[in-house]
Amino acid sequence: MTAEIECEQNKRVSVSREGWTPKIVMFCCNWCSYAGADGAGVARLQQETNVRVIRVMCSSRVDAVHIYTAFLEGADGVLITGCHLGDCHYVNGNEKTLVKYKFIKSMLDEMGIEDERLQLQWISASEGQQYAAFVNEMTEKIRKLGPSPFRKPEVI
Amino acid sequence: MTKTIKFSENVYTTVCPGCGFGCGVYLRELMPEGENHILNIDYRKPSPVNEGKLCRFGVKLPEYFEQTEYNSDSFETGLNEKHMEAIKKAADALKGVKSSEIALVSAGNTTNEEHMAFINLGKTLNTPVNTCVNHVYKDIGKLHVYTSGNVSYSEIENAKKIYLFVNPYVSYPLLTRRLVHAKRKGAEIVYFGLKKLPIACKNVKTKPCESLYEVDEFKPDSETVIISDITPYTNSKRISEIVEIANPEKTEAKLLFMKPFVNSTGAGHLSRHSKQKTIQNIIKGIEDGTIRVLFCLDTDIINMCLNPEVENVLKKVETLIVMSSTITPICEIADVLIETEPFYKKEGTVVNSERRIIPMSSTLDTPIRAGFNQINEIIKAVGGNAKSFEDTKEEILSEFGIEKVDEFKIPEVSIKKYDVEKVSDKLEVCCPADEPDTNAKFIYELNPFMWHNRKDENDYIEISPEFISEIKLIKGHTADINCACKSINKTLRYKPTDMENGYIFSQKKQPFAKAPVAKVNIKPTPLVKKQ
Amino acid sequence: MTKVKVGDRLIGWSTNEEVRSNGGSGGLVTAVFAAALEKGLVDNVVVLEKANQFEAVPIITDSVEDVFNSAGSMHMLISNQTKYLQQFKNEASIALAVKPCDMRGIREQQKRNTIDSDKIFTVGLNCGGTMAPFKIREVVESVYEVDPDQVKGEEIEKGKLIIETFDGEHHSHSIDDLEVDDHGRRENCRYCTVKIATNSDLACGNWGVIGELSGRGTYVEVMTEKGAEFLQNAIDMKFAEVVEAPEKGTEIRGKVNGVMLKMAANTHKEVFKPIEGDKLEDLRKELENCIHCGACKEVCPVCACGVDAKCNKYYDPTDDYDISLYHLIRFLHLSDSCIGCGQCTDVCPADIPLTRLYRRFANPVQEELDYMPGMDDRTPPFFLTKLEELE
Repeated sequence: MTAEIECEQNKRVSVSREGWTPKIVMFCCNWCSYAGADGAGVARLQQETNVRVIRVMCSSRVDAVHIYTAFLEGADGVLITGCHLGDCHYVNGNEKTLVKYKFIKSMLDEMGIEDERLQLQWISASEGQQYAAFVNEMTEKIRKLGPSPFRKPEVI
Repeated sequence: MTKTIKFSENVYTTVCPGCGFGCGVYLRELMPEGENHILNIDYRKPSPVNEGKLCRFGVKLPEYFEQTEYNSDSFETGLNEKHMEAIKKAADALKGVKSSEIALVSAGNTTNEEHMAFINLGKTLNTPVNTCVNHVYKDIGKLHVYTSGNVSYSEIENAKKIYLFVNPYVSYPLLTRRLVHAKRKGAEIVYFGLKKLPIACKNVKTKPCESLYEVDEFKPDSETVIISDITPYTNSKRISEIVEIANPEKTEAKLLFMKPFVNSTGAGHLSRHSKQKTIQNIIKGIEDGTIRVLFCLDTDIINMCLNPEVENVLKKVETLIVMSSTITPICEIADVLIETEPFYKKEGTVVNSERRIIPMSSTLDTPIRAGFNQINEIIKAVGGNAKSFEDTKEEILSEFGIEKVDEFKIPEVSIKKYDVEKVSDKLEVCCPADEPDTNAKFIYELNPFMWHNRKDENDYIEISPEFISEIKLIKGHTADINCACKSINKTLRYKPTDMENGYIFSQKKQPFAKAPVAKVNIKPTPLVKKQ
Repeated sequence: MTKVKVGDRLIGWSTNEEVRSNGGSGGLVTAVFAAALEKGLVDNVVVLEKANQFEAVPIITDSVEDVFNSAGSMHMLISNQTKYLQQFKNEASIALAVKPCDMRGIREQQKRNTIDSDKIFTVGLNCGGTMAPFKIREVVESVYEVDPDQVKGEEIEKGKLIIETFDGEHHSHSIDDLEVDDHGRRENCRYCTVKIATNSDLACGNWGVIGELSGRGTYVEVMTEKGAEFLQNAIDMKFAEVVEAPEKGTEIRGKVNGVMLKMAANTHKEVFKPIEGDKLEDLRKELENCIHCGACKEVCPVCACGVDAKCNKYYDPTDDYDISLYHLIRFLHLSDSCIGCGQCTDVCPADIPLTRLYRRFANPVQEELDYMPGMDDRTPPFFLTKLEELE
């Protein structure tokens, strides 16, 4: 008898690419990026529609729990946006985001989650153009990557 | 330096009372001067049973004891007036009735020493001590040899093939690591049940009432270890079939039967020659008035029974004597309540499911033996001969055929056949016959939290993803479950679990299910529109 | 002799001859504790109450006699001193002996304000690794072929585990050989990089004790002002005597440490070799038997969150995630602070190699930031506003 018996039934089932479209959760800070998103909309810039925007008061409000829950519930990517460094409405919230982001990023990397699935970008209120470009770029990248390994078949 | 408090400390080397697995644990009692004691767990890493590891229940032991123990300081100075008064009342009640009208019950929630003293009381009164666990099935004499432990946990690790009839994750969590080791060494683990367990290499769908003769995969041989359990709800037919098919004398297959209470095996062994009653018979006896005095030693029949009606039946008994180390529902309705020291403070031995005799000790200068002494006082009061603690200890050792307690060696015990009443071998089902309005079968997964009526984050049901879509449950919402007769309804959260369709599992006692398997109706909770 | 000061490297012993010979290495630690208790520098000392050669529990005492009676060390005692101290909620002043990892835990708790450094005095003992008590018992029976009840004591010397029996015989096996079959030290000890407790008040051990003092003296490095005070007190009270450590001794101590660290580095490479294939699947497989008992958090010496911790509050038993939020949050929160003490692996009822998993996430971050938790008073990086503030 071999030491390792193959236990087929206990393997993770991955989602097939067929009929799949990426689902992206995006956190926007109230003071800069959310206004940026607004600006992109007002300017009628072409954007991918795979992004679900969640408004937060500051990018530092985005906790690891939110990010992990998004992935576990089937998100293919998570984007965090905030004010440029030095412009934070709460003095240094975005600096703290940066610290947290570094640790989460390192952890996702250790779990084998691709770099593109979690991204942080500073977008100010006037940067509607940049906002649209970021959304389009990331959607395209995640589309190329395929479904997230966390995603389960029953999650539609 | 700021102000400091004077502390003193006791460490109790004890056994987790959660189930019959017999996990060793230290309980550290910290006593700040002039304040209440603080209990903490310390992991007993030298324990041969669990190497210090504990399950969810074990980790929460300090909370369990703090919430259920009687003021334990009162026992350190010996028995007080309150205790003696209760003892006198109990003795008077016992003396006032015929021996056939008395039922003594001890399921094994206390030490061998106390159980032995209780048996002694039974001898004085000429009535047996009922353990309510070891004799749920027919023809006990033939089976007992196989059901009282003939495989050690370490032997599981070396098995080639393991047949599981219990869900180790829920019912006996410390079994899991033994199975993990076995699997690493190449064992094939087959689970006979309705769930898909990660530990199992193969899950064979086996319904609770299904005959094992019809399960083709159940083919035990000399390299097989079969793990099942015996509880007050065990389907007796299943147990007999396991033993019949495995037929250890012929196939050399090994059998391990887990038990629900910490000293079930010890109590079962010490009471093995007595003609016992089943829990159903005792309840019936109370209902028709043939049992007038019921004496429970650390056995809460209300917790033990799935049907809450039992409480009303117990109220009918003329005198209900309860001797308990924990505050449980039965204490509230007791006519005579004898409080004893918490389990962790007890000195003595317990026997776990693999029949290992485990000593319990402490760093105290004089051990607390309140419970033992109280039983002895009752024996004296009813005119019997009370035996000293040391003599009782000797008696227990000789019952197990050993000279001294060594928890690292499992004693060989040859067990003679003995008789108990025959019981029906049908699995009790809450609402009989086929109810047209039910769409699922509800099954309990027994676990320490349920036996001890403890709160845990387990007020939810488990159900398969396919069944969730079939009955259209909505993610994040709840399900409504009715019993077949529609009289009880409960709204519960649910967890999608890899298992058979049409079944519901629960780890918590639910009002709509009064039997181990119950037919129920499940549907989504109607969404209420916001006003 | 001049007064003891920080940075001193000395060799000391107990003036009580019985303690000196029983203690195995001069009984200096016993002497320092006894003197401190006698003088009233502390109210309590933690001693080991032995049940047998394989079992002992730490317990506090305020009697000098108990301290003298408790001399002797055990390699299989894996007590959790950080959690032990936390029970007292800073309401008692306590002196205790610690392993380097215990001390790292205590330091991390000091940063999190749950242990008051004014209330405790620690003597750090050199630690080449610890062994699971149950495993040792098994090994004594199966490898040494000795009846466990006949064991008088054990000692690690020159890479060998020596078992002494009551008949005076010594039985020895190389630890390397034992570890091939996983019969030796706990896995985390094999790659642990702190062998000398330089983070405690006094760093003691028998490495570097040479010549005629060998076996009758303890090498001590004074790490803090408090350490100097306590050692001076023991000398003043005539409980202990010290001499300057010879240079050769210091050199040997360094060498022993160096050899150990080299071995640790090799094990580290072996244990943490890159995972081939699906990393996420690997992690999920490791965690599939988790029963969510929460013991790994209970024993974690660096966790200070209590019952309302995020990992408990956001874990919902009805979730059917591949990896539960409980674990993900703990992996993240420990990535800057895990000290690799192995307590979590010890208590896991499903035998999940948790320490290895925590270290898998902690190694890259701690290496990159050059941050070793529990070795100094720096703020844990996760709590910083800017990583540049970590000096």
